[in-house]
Amino acid sequence: MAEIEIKGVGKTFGAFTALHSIDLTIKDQEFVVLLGASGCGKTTLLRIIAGLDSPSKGEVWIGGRRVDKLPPRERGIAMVFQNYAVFPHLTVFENIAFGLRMQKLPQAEVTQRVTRTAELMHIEALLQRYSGQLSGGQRQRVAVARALAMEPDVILMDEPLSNLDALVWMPLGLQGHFEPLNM
Amino acid sequence: MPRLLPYLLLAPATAFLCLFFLYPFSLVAIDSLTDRGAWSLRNFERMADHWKFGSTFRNTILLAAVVVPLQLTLALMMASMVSRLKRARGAVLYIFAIPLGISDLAAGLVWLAIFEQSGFLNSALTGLGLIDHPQLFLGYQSKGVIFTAIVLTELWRATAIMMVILVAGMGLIPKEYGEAADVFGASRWQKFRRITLPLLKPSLQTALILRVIMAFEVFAVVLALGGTNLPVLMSETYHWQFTMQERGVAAAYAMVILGISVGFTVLILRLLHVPKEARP
Amino acid sequence: MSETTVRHAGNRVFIAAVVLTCIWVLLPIYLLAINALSAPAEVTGFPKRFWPSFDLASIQFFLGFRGVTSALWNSVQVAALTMVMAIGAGAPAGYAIARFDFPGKQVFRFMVVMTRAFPLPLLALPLAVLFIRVGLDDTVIGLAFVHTTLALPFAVLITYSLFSGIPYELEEAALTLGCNRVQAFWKVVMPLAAPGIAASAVFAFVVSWNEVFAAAVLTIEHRTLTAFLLQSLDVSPLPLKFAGGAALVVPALIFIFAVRKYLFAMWGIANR
Ligand SMILES: Nc1ncnc2c1ncn2[C@@H]1O[C@H](COP(=O)(O)OP(=O)(O)O)[C@@H](O)[C@H]1O
Ligand SMILES: [Mg+2]
Repeated sequence: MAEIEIKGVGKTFGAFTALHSIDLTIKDQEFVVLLGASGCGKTTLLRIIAGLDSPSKGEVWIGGRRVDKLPPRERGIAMVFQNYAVFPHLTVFENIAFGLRMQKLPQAEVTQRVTRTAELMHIEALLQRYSGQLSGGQRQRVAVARALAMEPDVILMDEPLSNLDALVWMPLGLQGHFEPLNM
Repeated sequence: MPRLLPYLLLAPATAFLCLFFLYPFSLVAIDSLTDRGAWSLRNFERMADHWKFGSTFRNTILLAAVVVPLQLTLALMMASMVSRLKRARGAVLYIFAIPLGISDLAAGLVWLAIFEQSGFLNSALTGLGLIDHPQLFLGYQSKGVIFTAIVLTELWRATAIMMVILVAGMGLIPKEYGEAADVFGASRWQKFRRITLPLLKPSLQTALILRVIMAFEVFAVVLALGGTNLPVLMSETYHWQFTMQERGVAAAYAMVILGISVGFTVLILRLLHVPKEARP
Repeated sequence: MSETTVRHAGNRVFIAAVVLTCIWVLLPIYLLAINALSAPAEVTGFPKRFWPSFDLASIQFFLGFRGVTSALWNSVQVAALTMVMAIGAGAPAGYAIARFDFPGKQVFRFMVVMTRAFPLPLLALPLAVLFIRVGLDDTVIGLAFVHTTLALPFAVLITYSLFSGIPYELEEAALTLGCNRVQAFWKVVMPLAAPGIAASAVFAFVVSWNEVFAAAVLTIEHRTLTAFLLQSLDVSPLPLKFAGGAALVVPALIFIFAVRKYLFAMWGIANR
């Protein structure tokens, strides 16, 4: 249902070419890890899939729809940022609920989904705290919970293992294969 | 990002600046350089030939030359005090910052209360038995006292803005630098001289530019304390415009103020230039 | 002397210096307060006492003086309009230069810095002529326009530093969570920037409230308090001057108190 197809995507910043031409298909249900030296373009590619940057050339398809001209909110994706981007002015609860509120879900549904994802990420005790009161690992888990709560077609995670706290991944039972990103 | 969005966002501010800055600025420039519709330097000649111009120019420059260095020193001292304070930091900062909100006119009036003939300075001096009867400090014969009073008022009023900029700048210097210097055995003064001051250059730049420009625009303080006894560029501009009704000469004065402001701004930018690679 | 006594002595000198500096700032204000809170006869009398008699006659005299209350009201109106316009025009510009790279950005920044390097009150001279032509002369809004130009560079630079301090990533996160640009701004950037924007709005208010030169040039009937005081400096009796001075100072104390938390943050990055 949510197959991602990347067709000949390239990205240049001025005279600098960050991505030459990427072709990649990620099948539905598949768990793919992009590996590569720092600066090789992992973040750039993720941002293009998310719609935060537009490709200089090529096409991005998600679930059979061409999305490279659509804004992020219409792509059915959720993203976990490298620096987590947890909103400092909202509690953990409101952070996780942010996207659900944008979808105007009923309060009961919001509470239920927030609680469920918070439990999954083992942060149910932190729901009333602010970002400033969390450790780096806890912050990362909030960012992941915020993305999971959206129940999106695609979850993009930038450097999800950068924090050892992410060992909490284990219960998610996520498995997958690795795909080196050849530039 | 839609291509037009940034321009849309800039539009109101740009409109304001064009309409109320660039447009009148070009009018001032033209006014100063024309005489009865023809290009001429007559306005500048009339300004420069007037007997008051020399002392006006000297007063303004001298005031800036005395006030700004004193102020810079005081502001640096105040900023260092604040950064060393552990307790009551917020309260001290608030007190130090108070003059920031006080206009030059109000400051002039504040210090008038001290220096006028029946003022607090005379009261204190007679009360202590140092003088028999109140002195006329701000009379036209005592230009030196008027000058000193203006310097004190400016020092009191406009140090705050420099101090605030410097405190903010110091706050941006990562603690590690000072701690590294500690490890290498630097004294407090050495740390200030070798670490704080060089890293503070961008803030020093901003503070000095703002302050020097303000110094050339000094006006209400002078009027409140000295009346017409100590003419400065700004008060002469006012005088030519309104009392003499000579727009051209007033505009010439305006251009002189602009000229020295820009000149000193460029000078400060040069002297305190920080190459891009050396910025933290 | 042992090392600790040296350090104690040093500390004592330091504390004394801090206290002295505080007195240096506060004493003149205290003296003005004495004058404002004493009877007119005491204000002109000699020698002065160093504590107020809490006689409100000077203040009443000031408020009853012809033109004072309307001047006060004009000052408030002009400053409020300036505050709204300076932020209304300045904040979007600050946001644009903080967030986007676009051709012309450097030109705009240069123009903003130039206005800061130019003695703006001088512009009042030609503007006076222009305003007469378009019927804006001697109006509150006309003066507010000029004051807005004065306050605008500060508003742009301060909001620029504020917005630069808010990671763009937060906005992007909001975009991936279902917001459009406007929603992302209102739900994420605004709550974070609001206190700082309020502070820079207050700063714009102060700029206008204190401005003397343009106010004196551009208004005749609708004088602001500063213009009124400047005009009557030669002719008005001392009690009026001092009460007027106090009327100018009190709002300043409140302003600075209101924005004290943000003052330093906003100046810090503004000079980058
Ligand atoms: N906005 C930009 N402007 C210019 N170069 C950029 C920009 N963003 C990223 N780059 C460059 O593109 C390359 C890829 O960056 P990125 O995708 O962040 O790498 P990583 O694989 O470590 O996530 C890097 O060399 C980086 O310097
Ligand atoms: Mg990366």
